[in-house]
Amino acid sequence: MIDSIIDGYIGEVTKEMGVSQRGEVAKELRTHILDSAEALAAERNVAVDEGIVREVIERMGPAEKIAAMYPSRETFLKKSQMWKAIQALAGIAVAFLVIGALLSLVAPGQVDVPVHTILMVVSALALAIVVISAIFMAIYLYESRLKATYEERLKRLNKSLSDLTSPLKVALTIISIVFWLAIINLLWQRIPFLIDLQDGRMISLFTPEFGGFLPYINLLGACTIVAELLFVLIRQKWVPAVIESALDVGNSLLVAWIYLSFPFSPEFTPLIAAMIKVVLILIALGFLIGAAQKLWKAAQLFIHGGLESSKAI
Amino acid sequence: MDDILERFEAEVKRGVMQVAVMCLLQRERYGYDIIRSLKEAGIGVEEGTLYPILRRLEDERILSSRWVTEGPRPRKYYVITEYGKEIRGKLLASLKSISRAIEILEKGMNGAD
Repeated sequence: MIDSIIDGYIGEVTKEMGVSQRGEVAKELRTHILDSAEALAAERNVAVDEGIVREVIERMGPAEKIAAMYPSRETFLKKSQMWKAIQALAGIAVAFLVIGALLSLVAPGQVDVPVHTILMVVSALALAIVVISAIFMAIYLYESRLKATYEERLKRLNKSLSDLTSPLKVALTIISIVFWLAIINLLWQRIPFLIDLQDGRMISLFTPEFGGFLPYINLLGACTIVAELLFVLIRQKWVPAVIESALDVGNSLLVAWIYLSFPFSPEFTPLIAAMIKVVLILIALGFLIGAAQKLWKAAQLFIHGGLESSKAI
Repeated sequence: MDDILERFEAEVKRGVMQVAVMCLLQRERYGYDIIRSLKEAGIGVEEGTLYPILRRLEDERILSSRWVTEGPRPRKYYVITEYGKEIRGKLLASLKSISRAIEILEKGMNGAD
């Protein structure tokens, strides 16, 4: 109980701090509270108890006030002004796009070269934003994950494992799968898509050939629902995690098959068809990454043998 | 009125506390030890407020610190740096000059009564 009182107070003081600062401040405050409580207890000739700890904490001052007094440690991300760089690049890209749109509007057909140049500049800026964002993400992951203390990592692990197996998450996943299956089964013939970026005419996205993939899509969806239910029903949580990983591989293969068969309207321009192919590749890659993540989770669930034992580490 | 007095006292105390801490840290001390010495010197503070001040002074290179893990629990020891000593000298001179000025003003105030 004493520990939870101290943890509660320290948690309040350090909740807005960065990982490295949080760990150090928590350690220092804990030492102070325990030192102070021991001294107070010795003064009164009693043992340290909850009352003494509460009194010491009261003397420390309100947690919010102490937290506000700490200098805010700037992280590398804040210091490096990366957000500002991305915002500036995005701003320039938007400005170019507006100019391009205005040129096309004012002198349609006569300004192909400048518009083409503008599109190239915008593409280059978009690429720069993607690269900067990737660097940004890598640094963020380093700052927030690798520098975390052991306790922090353990807490995160417990949270991620409990999120994975929580009934709420399972229910939401099942609802979204049912919704997705309903949409794709009932409306796949009527999903509209732009035939051409310039034309603006809409046609049906899929050819009748796509109907042949529906049984496989339904089967994978149904298996995923069963795997989700297993998270709630059985104790060995790693089993459904392994099944979901295998299902993601199956989904990836199905998308690859769709890519090869390409059951999309033949009326699409080469550009639109290429865009659809890129999207299909990204989806397949997404499923493969998902499969790897779920396999990793399965290993964690297997090693920690469920949440109770992992909490006790 | 009490609120105003409390706020005013807190502001003055915060400034004075920084100088007092710099004086105490002529030798290495840890947080609880600093608070005990401050209390003995008659500077009562909300104990939690000391640690952000130590952190700030450390960030400003006025203090340096090290963790000592021997003993019942880990303790962070602070000591004033050479740069901190320079600052402390100037601050003490400034405080003394302010104190003298206040004294003069107070005498003038009493004389006017």
